[in-house]
Amino acid sequence: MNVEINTEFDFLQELRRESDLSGLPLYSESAHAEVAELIDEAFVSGVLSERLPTEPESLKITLAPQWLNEPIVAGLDVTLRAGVNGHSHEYRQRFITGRWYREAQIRMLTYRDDGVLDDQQTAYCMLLALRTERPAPVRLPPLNAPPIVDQELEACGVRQLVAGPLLPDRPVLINRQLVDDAIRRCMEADTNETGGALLGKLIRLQAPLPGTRTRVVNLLSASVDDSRHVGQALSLAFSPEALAEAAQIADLRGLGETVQTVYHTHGWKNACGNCNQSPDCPLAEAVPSLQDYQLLETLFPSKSTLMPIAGRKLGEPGRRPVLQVHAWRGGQMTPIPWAAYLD
Amino acid sequence: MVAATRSITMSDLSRQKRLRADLGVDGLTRRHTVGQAVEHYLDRMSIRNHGLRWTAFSRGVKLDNKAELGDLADTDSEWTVMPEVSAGGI
Ligand SMILES: [Zn+2]
Repeated sequence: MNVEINTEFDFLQELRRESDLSGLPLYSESAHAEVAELIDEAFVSGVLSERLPTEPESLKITLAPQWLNEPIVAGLDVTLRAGVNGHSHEYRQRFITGRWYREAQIRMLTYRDDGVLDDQQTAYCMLLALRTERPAPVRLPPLNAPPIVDQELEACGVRQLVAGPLLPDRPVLINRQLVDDAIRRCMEADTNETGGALLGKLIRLQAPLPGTRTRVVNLLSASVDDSRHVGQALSLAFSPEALAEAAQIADLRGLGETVQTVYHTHGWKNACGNCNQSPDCPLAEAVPSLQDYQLLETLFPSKSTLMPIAGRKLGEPGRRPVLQVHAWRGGQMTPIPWAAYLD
Repeated sequence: MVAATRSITMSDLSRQKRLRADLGVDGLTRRHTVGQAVEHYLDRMSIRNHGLRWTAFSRGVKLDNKAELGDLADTDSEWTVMPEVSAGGI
């Protein structure tokens, strides 16, 4: 694929004591790798939503900052124009956050530990786009569409969908057995974390499901738990050996599945049970932590990955943990609706 | 003597970030080690190393990071590359 990037900017990430450009930054570094990540995400979103072809012959990328106050970026518009068989397809996505924001959060923790920032002091993280005649090149990873197989739901063992709204451009279906197991294991592990590998695949239906616009559906069909994954409070160490074995199991099932991702739990206090109602509950909510992002960047670097987390969710009715599923949506992992199915 | 052409395909666990390297052509030779091939993969795919311990698995079995690519069995050509990594709540 012939890839071309049009931009007149150099991108920088900075952390500052003021919300403008006065004074010296706490740090100032290139943000080109972070911008490359957004391009990767936009490409994958374009493919999964069927707005872009899976194998374009050419790809023209345009990066257009929306200003808070030039050169401070409020949003970055990534436009991809893919050419295939003489046709052109365009997909645009606006990003208002990205990895630079998480990097700033990690650095802030260190600055507070080291006393560079005191506990009350705020700092401002920003993305800057500096106009230049010769922008430094953005080094892109190979932009590959994830493997998608043409298959219908029945052939994948989906007997019945349990009602639930789906994202029109990113439908996700999860085996209800898997959901029940994840919630049960979250409760059994109490305040410790636990988790396991999730098998599944991306399929392309003949027609989109009702309420959706893409034929591409992400199925999560089974979980593979393994006692070699060691959990404690606030952390779960995944065993590469156990994950490699889960990949072997996926092969043996012969359904064209892979280990799509892992799920993990953020704890539940059975003695309390009010974890969804209590704002002072010390347990983490079921949202990705900075450490979870590190897991995503290393173990599941594809932007088509999902991150299901079981745990408490403030405001959710009931005395049970929920399973929240997160997908890459605009530079960060965002909770998305999904539907359970019966096999 | 003609050495057989060999290639290895490295991917992440979900098999979505795949890289095929023909030895002697794509920056890797038979004298490179498994560990060097893993670094090559991470660099080409823009995957952050995060200072973690990385390993390659073939057919479910961990490969020795110090083994030379030329010494691997022909069947060890499809690798899964993984770090030792933790999820967290904070
Ligand atoms: Zn977590």
